Parts: sequence; structure tokens; C-alpha cells
Amino acid sequence: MADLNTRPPPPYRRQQFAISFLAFSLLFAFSILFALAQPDPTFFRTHALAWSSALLVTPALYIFVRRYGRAPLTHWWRLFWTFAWAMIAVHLIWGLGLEHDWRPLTVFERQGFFVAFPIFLLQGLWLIDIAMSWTRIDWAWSTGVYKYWQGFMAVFVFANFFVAMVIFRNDTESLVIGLLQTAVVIGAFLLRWNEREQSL
Amino acid sequence: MRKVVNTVAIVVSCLALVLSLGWLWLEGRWSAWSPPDGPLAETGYQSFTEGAFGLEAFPIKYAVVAGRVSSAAFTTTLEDGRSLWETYGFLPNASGTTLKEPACQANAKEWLPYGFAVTNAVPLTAVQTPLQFAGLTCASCHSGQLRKADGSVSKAISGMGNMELDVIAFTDAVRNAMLDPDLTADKILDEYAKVCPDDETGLIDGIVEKVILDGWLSGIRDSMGSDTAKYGLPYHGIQMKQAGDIPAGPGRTRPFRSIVRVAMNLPGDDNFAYSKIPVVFEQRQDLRPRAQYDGSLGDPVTRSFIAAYASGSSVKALSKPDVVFNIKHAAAYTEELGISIPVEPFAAHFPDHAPDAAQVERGLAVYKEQCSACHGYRPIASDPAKVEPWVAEGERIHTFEGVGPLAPPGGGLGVDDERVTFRYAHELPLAIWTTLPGNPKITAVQEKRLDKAIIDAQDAGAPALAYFWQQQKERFLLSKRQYRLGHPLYFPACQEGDETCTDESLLDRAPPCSLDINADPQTCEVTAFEAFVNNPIPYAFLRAPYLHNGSVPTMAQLINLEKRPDQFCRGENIYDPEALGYVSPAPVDGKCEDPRQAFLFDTKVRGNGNFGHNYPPWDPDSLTGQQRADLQALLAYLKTI
Repeated sequence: MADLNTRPPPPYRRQQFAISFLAFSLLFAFSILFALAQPDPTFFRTHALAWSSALLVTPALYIFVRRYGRAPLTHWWRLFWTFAWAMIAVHLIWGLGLEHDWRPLTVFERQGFFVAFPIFLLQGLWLIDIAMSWTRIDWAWSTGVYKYWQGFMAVFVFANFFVAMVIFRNDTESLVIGLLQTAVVIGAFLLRWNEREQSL
Repeated sequence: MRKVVNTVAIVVSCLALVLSLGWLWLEGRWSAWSPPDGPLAETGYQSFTEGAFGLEAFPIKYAVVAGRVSSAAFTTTLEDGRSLWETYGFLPNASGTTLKEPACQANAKEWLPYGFAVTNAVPLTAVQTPLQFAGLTCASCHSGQLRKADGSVSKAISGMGNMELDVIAFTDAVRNAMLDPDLTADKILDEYAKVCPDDETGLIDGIVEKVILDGWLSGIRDSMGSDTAKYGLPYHGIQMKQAGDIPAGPGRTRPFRSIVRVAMNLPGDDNFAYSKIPVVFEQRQDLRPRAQYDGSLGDPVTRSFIAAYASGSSVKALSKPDVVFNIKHAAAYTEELGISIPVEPFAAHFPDHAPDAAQVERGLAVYKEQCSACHGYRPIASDPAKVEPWVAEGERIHTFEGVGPLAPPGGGLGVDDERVTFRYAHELPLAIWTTLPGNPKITAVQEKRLDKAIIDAQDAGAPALAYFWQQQKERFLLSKRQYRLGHPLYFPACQEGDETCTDESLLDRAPPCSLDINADPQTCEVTAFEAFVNNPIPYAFLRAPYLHNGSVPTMAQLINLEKRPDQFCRGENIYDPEALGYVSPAPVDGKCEDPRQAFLFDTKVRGNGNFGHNYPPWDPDSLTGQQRADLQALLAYLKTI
């Protein structure tokens, strides 16, 4: 507790919730209802929920890369980060329940340990991270071990999406969204680097 | 201002969530289903006659008003006072009662033709909605009736082919109707409201129904519209009943044109494989190890799946639990139909024409000499109202009889071979076998086979064929992702718990298998031999017209007691209990004038050949007295089996 940063987080504005919640709801509605016009609605829903999660996590990753260690994380980050997890949780429920008959072992059998394990690990670790971000006072100004944890989670989440969307690229939509997300993250790094150059 | 925008955003978000979650909840309610309990005779019959398997044709409300809003599409000009359904040969509703109230959605089961299911599933996607659809079942095609000389008609006979059903003409009529630019959801619902003014739909339900009807109509129109490149434009009016335009006619289909289209995504043109709608009695595998006229399939469930798939059911619809149940249960029903589930024999239908016992006894002897080696036999029952179990024994039973290049010296069976020599016949087995992904072990084998097909095509100097197999593999890989645990109806290559089942043994059973036509047992999952298989022929009197293409109207003609006609008129033909088959009038001046028997069956047309199966090999024009007596006895015996 010695290095706990007690600086208050940036002010919360209702607009942040309104916009992130709107993005979540519209993407969820799209995934569920647009599927009705697809040849295989269940399959579409499973994938559209994953695409939606990737889209929701992208602003959070952008903010994180820009501000991590330099400025407080914002409510934008926390809300998009949370809604993205909620969407991937629904994706998991859908995929596991409807496509694997609620049998997690079949996911391992089919995809192999090294692909299946990170899927489940992501759900657990990301949930822990979100729980901490909503309960810890220093979520915006993390220091010490928590700061490393946050950094690790951002990398872990991005890596998972990158592998799933760009490396595996099961469909064109995944590849496009994956590349978009990667471009945004790279863009955030470039801006961060540029700011550092200017401040020197 | 910002406050307002924030509030609106939150309200819209909540609405979107409520709408999505509400829809999911309703979907669960609409699709709620539990398997029925009871003996196979009941649940199987239910699956066979009322069980949907993804062939939803159109919404019930549209079916109510189809004759009004799509009159041009369905009219053939040969109605002759018949209803829309009767004109295309559907059997009348099972209740057999005259409706006192107008035919509406609420009482659909009381007026829809026999063998129609009522479901909430949207065609192809199988999404469940509040809109009720009418769909074909097994019984639409595989239940028939006998028209008697006195004008009476038997009740529906489960398992008999519907020899009056003009299913391809009906499909063209439906395509005509769906492609009609003037047909709209409003038009359907407005007309329905006039016909069924008491059928009130609530405000919310009404809106949902209208949206779904709109969506269905535009979806089906897009789908059928884009398919015209593969299917061509549908025929209309009188063309739908003319052999020159739709050559299949009543009681027949073109199953391989259909399956080439759906499983291979190719046009299926240049296909003259006309096939009589078969009877489905006594399909148990000990009696009938290979199904289809050409013995191309082993498993009865696979046979039922392919029948549904070739008829237009989607892979998605065929994965729904209720549809899977119906397919499996209907298959089980046909295995027992005629064995533990009774089928009325000839004597029950035609008690006045029951053959003489001595004749039957003599006929059995002739049969054993001429027929039983290939077909087995049925012992004579002491009670003519019953039948004894079929004895599937014989020197050549269950073997393949080659035609064309595979024909034995002397010509062998010698029947019309279009049924087994059509274009893509040899590519079809693998395409079918990889339509449904199996479990991970089987998908690995399926992929290997597709890879081999690509290499083989390249080695054979057929790069376009290699490209085709690449496309098939892409389809397969997508399907494999959609059905991660395997499609519930995939080919049962390995039985559960079969420890001896290995990758190698799976490959042995995967098409294209060994080319040994005489392999015993034939373990190949799907074969494409240019051959027909020898199988039992239970309830022979219900199999008319004879041969795989229905080119011989009566049994008397098939066994050479009478001459086989070159041309005859088909439709609502009277059953002839003496000749065992259909009274089929000859055309006058090359035309079939009776609007109810308007289809001109010309055996000189490609695929319609009535030659071959020349057993006993006697000339009907020069029979000796002994031969004639033998054939009459044989005919008497054939009435009893």
C-alpha cells in the first residue's frame, strides 16, 4: 500500500458513459438482429460479437497507449475496456454454448491447447483487471506492480485479438477489423513517440 | 443540449438492448421443442407426415391467398375444377372433412394438403419467428393413393410414392410467384384480412409479422433471382404441364440435377436422370443394405438427409434439433414400415380382385425361377390380409447390375442408363460426402480426400476440375467452422465406441472408394457405379409405374405378359388391379387431351427408355400357352407380396 497513488481520477462525464454504452448496445443489436438476414444466424452472431468486442477495445487500447505511465487513464478507457470485455464474454457464451454444446473440453480438442487456453485465460484475467479498475482508487494513476499488471493486460488483450483477427483471419471482416485495430495501436505509439520527442 | 444528447443516447442504447434481448427470448420461445414420446409407429408417422425438415415453402397466410394474389403463377389452364393443390397432385388433407369455416392460419392443419408441416422456421436460415410457414415433409412425396374404377380413392398410403405429384411443376409455380414484382407483404396481408376477417393479429405481432414477411419475400426473391443463372427462368402456365418443357411429369423428379446444383453448385444441365418417386417400405438394412435405385448409399438416415438436401433444405436447417429428430425418426419409420408397422396388402385394397390361391402357389414357383435370385421372395401368407416377412436371399440379391460399360456379356439388366451416367456422376459422391463436416477425426479424413481430389485432377490434366475441388474445399472449411463438433447428420463413418475405426479405415470407406463393384459387403459410404442394385420389392403392387424411371405403367407389361407402350398419358390415372398398375391411355394424335392426364410420357425421349429388365425374356407378341399361363400365375403371386 506504500506506493498506492491516491491522486483522484480524471472527472467523470455522463457523455462518456452515454457514448460507450451506445456503441456497445448498437454493436450488440447489430450482432443479434443483422444475423437474421444471414445464411447461418448462429455462426454470424458468434463472429459478429467477436468483431464487436475488437471494435470496442480499440479506443481503450488507443487511450492506454497514449497515456500509460504519462497521464491518468480516463473513464473513456475504463468504459470501453469494460464493454469490450462484456461483449467478448457474450461471444464466449455463444460460442461455447451453441457451437460447443457447453463442453469446454471440445474447444481444446478441436483447437489444441495453445489456441484454446489463451481464450479462456483472457476471459479470466481481463475480468480480474476490470474488477480492479472499478474497485481500486489508483486505477487511473497506477504505479508499481499494478502498473505492470495493467501494461501486461493491454499487451495480452491486444495480442489475443491480433492473433485471432489478423493471424488466423477466419474471414474478411476479422482481417479488416484486426488490421484497423493494429493501425490504431501503431498510430497511438507513433503519437506517443512524437510527443516524447517534442517534450525533449 | 449535451444533456439531451446524452439522454437520447442512453435511451437508444436501452431500446437496442431490450430489442435484441427480447428478440432472443422470443426466438427461444418460438423454437421451444421437445421430442415426442411414444412408439415408433406413432412418432415415426408423425415425423414422416408432419415433421418439418427445412422445406418450408411459404408462410401459411400466403398459402391461404396464393390462389388469389398469385393466380397467374400457379394457373396451368388444366385445373379442370381442381384446387391449386390438387392440380399439382398433392393429396387431400388427412382429416378428409369439409371445412365449415374459411381456410385460415389458425386451422391450417385442417386444410393444408396431406404431408404438409406447419413450422415457425424461416426457409433456409431456420430462424424461428412468429410467422407460421407451410413446409413439405417426407409424406408429401412418399405417400400416395389409389384411384379406383368406381371413382373412389383410397386413403393416403404411407410409404408409397405419390404418382400424381408434379413436384417440379409446383416448384416452378412457386418460383414464378415469388419472383412476381407485384407481390408484396401488404398485398398478402390485405388479401388475407379479407379472407379471414376474424383472424385478429395484435398490434405488436402484426408489426413483427409484416417485417418478417417483408424480409422473407425480399430474401427469397433475391435468392431465387440470383439463382436464375443456375436454374433458368421457371416455366409458367400450360408449359408447367408439358413434357417438352418439364420432362419429369407426375410422380417423377430429377434428383441428380438437383443434387448437382446444391452439392456442387453447378447448373446440372444435360441431366436426363429421371427418377420415379420411390416407395419407402421395409428399408431395414438387413433387407436392403444399399439404398437408392443405384445402391449408392448405405445408411437410411443419410438417404433421408440427401433426399431433403436435394429437395432444397439447407445444411443449416438440417442441423436444427427438431429437424434432425424428424429425419432420423422418419428414416427409422421407413425401416419398419411394412414390417412391424403394417401396410395394407393388395387384398385389403381390392378384395374383389384377390388372386386365386392355386395361381399364387404356381406363381411363386415361376417367381423363384425368374425373379428371386435378384429380389428374394415373400412366402405366401395363409391369411391374404397379411404378409409374411420378406426373405432377402438369392444368388444375386444386394449385388450391383452393371449397365453401359459395366454391363456383363449379353447386356445384363439393359435398362435406360441415364440415371447412372449423367455428367458429374463420378464427382458427386465426394461432393456429397464432404457436404456435412464430421467430428474432428472425420473432418481430417474429409480434408485429405478433398486434397487428393485436387491433386488427382491436376495429375489427370484437368485444372478446372482441380479448381472446382479447391472451391469445394473452401466451402467445406467454412462448414467445418460452422459445425465445430460436426454436423448432427454427418455420415456415420465410425460408430460410437468403435475402437477399430482408424484414419485408414475411414479413408477406405470414403468416396471415391475401391472400384470393385462386387465388393461384399460394399462398405463405401457413397458409390457412383454405373449400375443398379438388386433389392427386395415388397408391396410390388404399390410400385407402379415400373422401372426406376416409371416408364412401364403396369406389372403385366414389366413381366412381358403385355407389350410395353411407347407413349402414354400420365396424371390422375385409375389403378388397374388386374394388370397391377395404371390404366394409361394412349395419346390421340400425339396429344393427351384429358386435362387430368395431360402429361405425355414418351419412352423414346432420352432418359425415358422402357427397355431392359427383360425378365422373363419372352416376347409378349408371341407367348406360348405355357408361357402365358406362367406369367398370369406370376402376376397373381406378385399381387400378394
